[in-house]
Amino acid sequence: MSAIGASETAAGAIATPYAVRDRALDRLTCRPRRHRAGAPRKVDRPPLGIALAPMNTVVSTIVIVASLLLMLASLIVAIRNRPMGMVLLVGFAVLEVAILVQAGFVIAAVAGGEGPDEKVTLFGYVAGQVVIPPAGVFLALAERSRWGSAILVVAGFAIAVMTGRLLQIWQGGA
Amino acid sequence: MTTSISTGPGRALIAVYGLFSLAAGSRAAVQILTKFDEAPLAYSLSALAAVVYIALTVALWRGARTFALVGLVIELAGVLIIGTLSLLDPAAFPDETVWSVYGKGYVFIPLVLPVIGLFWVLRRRR
Repeated sequence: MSAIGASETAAGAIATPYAVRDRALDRLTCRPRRHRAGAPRKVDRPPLGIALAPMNTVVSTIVIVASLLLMLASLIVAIRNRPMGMVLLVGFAVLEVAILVQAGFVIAAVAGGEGPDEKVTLFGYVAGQVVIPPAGVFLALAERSRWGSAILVVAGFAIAVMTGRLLQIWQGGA
Repeated sequence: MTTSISTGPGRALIAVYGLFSLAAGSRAAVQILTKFDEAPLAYSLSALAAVVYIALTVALWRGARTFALVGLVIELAGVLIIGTLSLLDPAAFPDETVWSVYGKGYVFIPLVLPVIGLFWVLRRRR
């Protein structure tokens, strides 16, 4: 601990004994240093929604990328004149899970006081997204031809567009 | 059964119409329930579009050819008339409907969709 402190003191021109000690502690706890020793510690934390908001964007990005990839895969399958296979079925199941996770983040963030004023529109998009993959897969199971795969192209495209709109609505009122 | 309009490409058409029923229906519901006074004409037309899309989804699903044809003609007329009106008199359309500017907000799919639909239903009549 003293060795680390000594090297820091040698390197940093503005190092004070307090800073040296805090930095050494940070190395041990692996946490970013937020408070100077002796400074009053802020007790009020941001509401849950603010903490979750960046995560919401990450999940949405995953949903958009996954839906676009699935759209492309469905298009290839449709062009090759094949019905929906196991790959697309599992793919859309995974997409549905990601959409449900995203819905959970949106609900949690809104419950934490975050989000735009147009809550009805927001939840409309969330609910629509949750419904689309099962509906698309249901239709694709009924239509065992290339047109079943074409249905999944539409479903993947719709999810990508709707997630993009969801992000717009979210950022528009945040 | 071989001449059914509800299988093959028709099933893909059902999916697209179902999607537009969802989009137009929820948009109209939000507009009418939360802010009908702002633009009664535009929101009423939103509701009309939603009804047409839902009716066409059901008609294609059930394979009701005549019903689907009537719906498709109404849809095509609606897109063209409302699209033109929204360009000529933007003041009457302060908010978007599905059919504003020939469905510009929906990458003009509302304009192409009835043409594809008519082509499909009429082709299958043979």
